[in-house]
Amino acid sequence: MNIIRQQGWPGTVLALAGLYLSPPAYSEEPIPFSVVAQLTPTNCTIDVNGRQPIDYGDITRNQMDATGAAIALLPRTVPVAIRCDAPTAISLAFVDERPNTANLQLAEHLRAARQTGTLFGLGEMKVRNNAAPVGAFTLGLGPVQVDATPRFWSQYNGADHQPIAPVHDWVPVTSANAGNISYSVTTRRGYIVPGTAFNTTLSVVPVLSPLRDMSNDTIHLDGEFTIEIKHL
Amino acid sequence: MVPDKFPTSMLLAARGLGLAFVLLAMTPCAYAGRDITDQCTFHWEGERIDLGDITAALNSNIVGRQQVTVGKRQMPLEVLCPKPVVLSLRLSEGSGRFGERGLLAFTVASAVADGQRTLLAENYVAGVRNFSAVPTMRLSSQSFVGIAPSNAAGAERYSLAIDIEATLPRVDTRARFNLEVAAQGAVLLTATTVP
Repeated sequence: MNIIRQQGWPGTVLALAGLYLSPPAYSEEPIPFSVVAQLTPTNCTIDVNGRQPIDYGDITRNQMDATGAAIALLPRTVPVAIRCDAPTAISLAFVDERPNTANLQLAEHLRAARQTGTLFGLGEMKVRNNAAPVGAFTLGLGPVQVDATPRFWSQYNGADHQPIAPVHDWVPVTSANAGNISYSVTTRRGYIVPGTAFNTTLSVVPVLSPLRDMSNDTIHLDGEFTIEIKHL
Repeated sequence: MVPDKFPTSMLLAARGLGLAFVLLAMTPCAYAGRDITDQCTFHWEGERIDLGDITAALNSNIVGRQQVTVGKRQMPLEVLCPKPVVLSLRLSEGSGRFGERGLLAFTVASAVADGQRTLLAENYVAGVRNFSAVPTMRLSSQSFVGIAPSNAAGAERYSLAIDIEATLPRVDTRARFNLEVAAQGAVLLTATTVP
C-alpha cells in the first residue's frame, strides 16, 4: 500500500501540471475576407505630327516627271511624342492600314534613294477598269529621347532586344504587319529604358507610280498606318 | 509528532507540485475563462474588398520604395455577445499574402467596448491584470490581439476597425495587360468569459 502511494504521487502531480500547461482548445470563429484589385497598364498616348495628316496638297501632272520610272515626292519629317502617366518601357509596332496596295516595283527606286524598309500602300486607283497601286511609302524612325536623354532603337521579337544601327540617322521600319516584331526604346546595348516622355521623329518618303500608269482622274494619296504602343 | 525526515517520495511530490504551480503562474492560459465564441454574432463588411484599378501611376512620385501601397481600406467589425467577454483576434495562416508577391497588413484600431474606448494587448486573455496596452496593433497569425476593456469583467458589445493595407512590389504594378490580384483569408475571433 505504501509502495503504491509513494510511486503514485509524483506521477499525479506531473500529469496535472501537463494538463494545465496545455493551451485550452478555444473555438475560433473565422471571419472571412477577400481582397481583389485590377492591375492595369499605364496610360500612354501618342501624338504624330500634332494629330494632323501629312498632307502633300494638290499636285498637277505638269509638276511630275513624265519620263521617270517613279515619281518621288519630297520626304517629310514629322514629330512623334509619346506620353505615359508613369515610367513605362515601350516598343512601337507599325501596321499598314492599306495592305497589299503598295507598288512593289518601286522598291528598287526607293533603295536607290537609300530608303529601305517595308513598302506601305498609298491606296489604289482605277486604270482602264483595273485597280492599280498609286505608289508606296517608307517610314524611318529618327533619334529618340527618353525623358530628355538620348536613347536607341532596338528590334524586339518578343524575347530579345536587338540594337539597330541607324542608316543616315534613320532606323528604317522593316517589319510592318509583322506580328510580334516591334521597335523598342533601349540603351545602346539593348536594355529597355522606362520613361514618361518619349520624343522622336518619323520620316515619310512617298513615291508614286510612273505617270504612264496613272489614271487620268483625280488621284488621292490614301496611305494610312497605325503605330501601336506595346508595354514591355 | 513532526518527522525529522521526509520520505524520498514525498520530497519528489513536493518538488513536482511546486514546479507545476510555477509553470501555471507563468502561462496566461491558466486565467482564461469559458469559450463562448459560438454564442456571439458579428457584423463584418469585409467579405469582398475591391481595391479597384491599380496602375503604375499610383505612387509613381515616391522614389526609392520597392514595395508600394496600392490600396487601403478600413473595415468595421462589430461583435455582440450574450454575456461579458474578452475578445481576441488573429489572422489565419497565409492571410498576409496578396497575389504572388504582395502583402496584406491588418491593423486593429478604434476598439470600443460597451461604448468605452478600449486598448489592445498582445496575447491578452481574460483575467490578466498586468499588461501593456496600445491603441492600435498589427494582426498576425503567430500571436493574437486581445481587446482589453477597462471593465475587467469584459464587455458584451464590441466595435473596432480593421485597417487593411495592400502592397505590391513596384515592378508588379507595371502591368502590361489587365490582371487581377486577389487574396483570401480569415480573421479568427475568440470570445472568452472572465473567470
